[in-house]
Amino acid sequence: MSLELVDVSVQFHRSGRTPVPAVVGVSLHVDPSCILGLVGESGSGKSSLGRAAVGVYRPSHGQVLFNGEPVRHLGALARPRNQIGLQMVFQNPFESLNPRRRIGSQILDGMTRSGMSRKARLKRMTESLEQLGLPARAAGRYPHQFSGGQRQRIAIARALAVAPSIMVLDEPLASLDASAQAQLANTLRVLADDQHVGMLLISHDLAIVRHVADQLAVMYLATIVESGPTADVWSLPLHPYTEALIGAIPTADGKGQLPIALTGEVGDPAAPPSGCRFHPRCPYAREKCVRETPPLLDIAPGRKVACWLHRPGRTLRPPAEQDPGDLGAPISLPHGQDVLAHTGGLTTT
Amino acid sequence: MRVVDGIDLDVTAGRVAGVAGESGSGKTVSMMAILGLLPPGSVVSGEACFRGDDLLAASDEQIAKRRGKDIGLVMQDPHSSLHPMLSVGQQLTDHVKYHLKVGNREARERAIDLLRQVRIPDPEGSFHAHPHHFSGGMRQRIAIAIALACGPSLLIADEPTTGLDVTVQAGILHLLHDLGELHNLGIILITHDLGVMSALADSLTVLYAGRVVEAGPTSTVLGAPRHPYTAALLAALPNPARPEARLLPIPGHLGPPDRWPAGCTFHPRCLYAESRCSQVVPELRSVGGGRLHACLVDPFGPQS
Repeated sequence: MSLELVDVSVQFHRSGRTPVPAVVGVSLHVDPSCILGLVGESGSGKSSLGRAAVGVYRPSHGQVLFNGEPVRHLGALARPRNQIGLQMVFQNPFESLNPRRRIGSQILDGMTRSGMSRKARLKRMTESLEQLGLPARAAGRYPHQFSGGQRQRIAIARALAVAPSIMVLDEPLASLDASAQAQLANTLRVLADDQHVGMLLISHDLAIVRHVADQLAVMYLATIVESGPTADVWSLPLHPYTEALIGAIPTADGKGQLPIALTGEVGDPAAPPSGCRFHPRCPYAREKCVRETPPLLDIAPGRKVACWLHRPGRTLRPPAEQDPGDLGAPISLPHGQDVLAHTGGLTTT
Repeated sequence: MRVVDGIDLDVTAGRVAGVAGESGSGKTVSMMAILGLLPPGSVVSGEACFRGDDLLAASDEQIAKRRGKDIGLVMQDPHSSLHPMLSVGQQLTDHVKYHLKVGNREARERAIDLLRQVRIPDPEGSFHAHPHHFSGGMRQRIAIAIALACGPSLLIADEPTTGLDVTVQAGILHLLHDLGELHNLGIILITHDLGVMSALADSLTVLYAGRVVEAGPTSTVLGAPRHPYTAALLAALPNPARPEARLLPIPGHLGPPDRWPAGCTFHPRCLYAESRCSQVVPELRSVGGGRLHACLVDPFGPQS
């Protein structure tokens, strides 16, 4: 029971203009009991990838397999019965829950195709609420009677009611205060460990993902730039972007240190930079990085990185300590900050 | 309904005073009170001395003259604090022309200089662009430029980086730090994010249910919290230095102001609460080193 994405691309078409490639050639797999954290800045394509993984978006290229079978593009159709074990929790529980219906009936909706008797469904609904730390009487209430953290739990309980083997969760921990975030993070870990639910956890918050996820995949401008076991990636980030993401997290230790700021902003996916997509913001960029796109290579057991500085067989070192070898002269970053950022939004060339 | 109860805060030029607390703790309400932005019917007592004048005693016209001029405000969401239909340049110059009584050309020069200061690429070109042309981080930079446009001596930044990506947040934190030094600003930083607080604030005041529970230099308050609430907040945060540690949520939640408990408002959620905590409101007392806290039990005190 696993979810596998093979070379998946997602494109959005715009009338009269070139399509926007939101996801380009991503391969991932999510196993039961394993939490795969997918991190990156907003605009990197994380949510589009998550939606393609459950059949909300149709991949323009590549395949999404659930238990070895292609995930059907849903459109207006219900999910096929053999794919009910694949569930999605959407980003905003204020929008994904119907404000005019009681919690209980919304949770029961998902089970209509499960083949369970009504009694069994009611029992399962109560169980899933309780697994998320909500009382059974919550079923009789409306979404507005709950806090943001509780609503997020309800949205997860709804997905959990059909006993999924894989869940895709889009930013479930965002916009919660620290305590609610900690509580939900712990619950996700319990669901993975005890209920053997595999999860694709989409988040922009690397610090919380560090506590929850077994595996990490870092996305930058529609592509995966690094992946590996969370603890390893955290202690020795190989891609300069991963390094920057970790360095940007401020620590509440009272030491008064400013986090490391990365220059520039995520570029435009419709007109990505040449070569390595990260090169305009990369402090280690060299001539080759501008010309050629680095492939995502297996660098060490379980670890992949797409950066010219790292090659299979080399000792793992932080990007600053890797010998650039034949990559050419360093590229000087354009003066000042935020050079890429700019007006026009999604413009075409 | 009492939502904020007896908050003391000092801000001096060139320093950053942090105000932390969960949503509903009264962080924003206190700042709105200073700026005279509370809805009609609100009752505010106390003093807010700004360069010798009591802002709370000032008339609406007097406050209006200072708001945006002597005191700049950066709000959480630049999507709603910038006018979507007006160009960035117009939003910057209207403000400058109103408060500083300068002409078009001078206002324009000032606006472009401000855009440069907040590191907006191509300031001349950006002058004519509209807010939707910019990313969230850039919009927040523009909001900061507007707040600084009339040369304030005090800047109130209310959750200035909430909702931004960490990389963008880091840039905004650097910017606030650099501009604070450059203009010798006093900054009041309001945020629930103790990481952001740690990076920027010199002093820290922690609010819970409208009251100050702990205050002092940021380094000691976060390094060795004295109040159980501050300690609980820190234990709930992911700590990159201790990645294996389990996150400890704070049990229960802070209800609406009309249902706040008697005595110490934190006692129903506190691991160290004793029976007296539900009866007596703890006083905020000084414990040396510039630190204050309001806890009867004081479980992290030197004697405990």
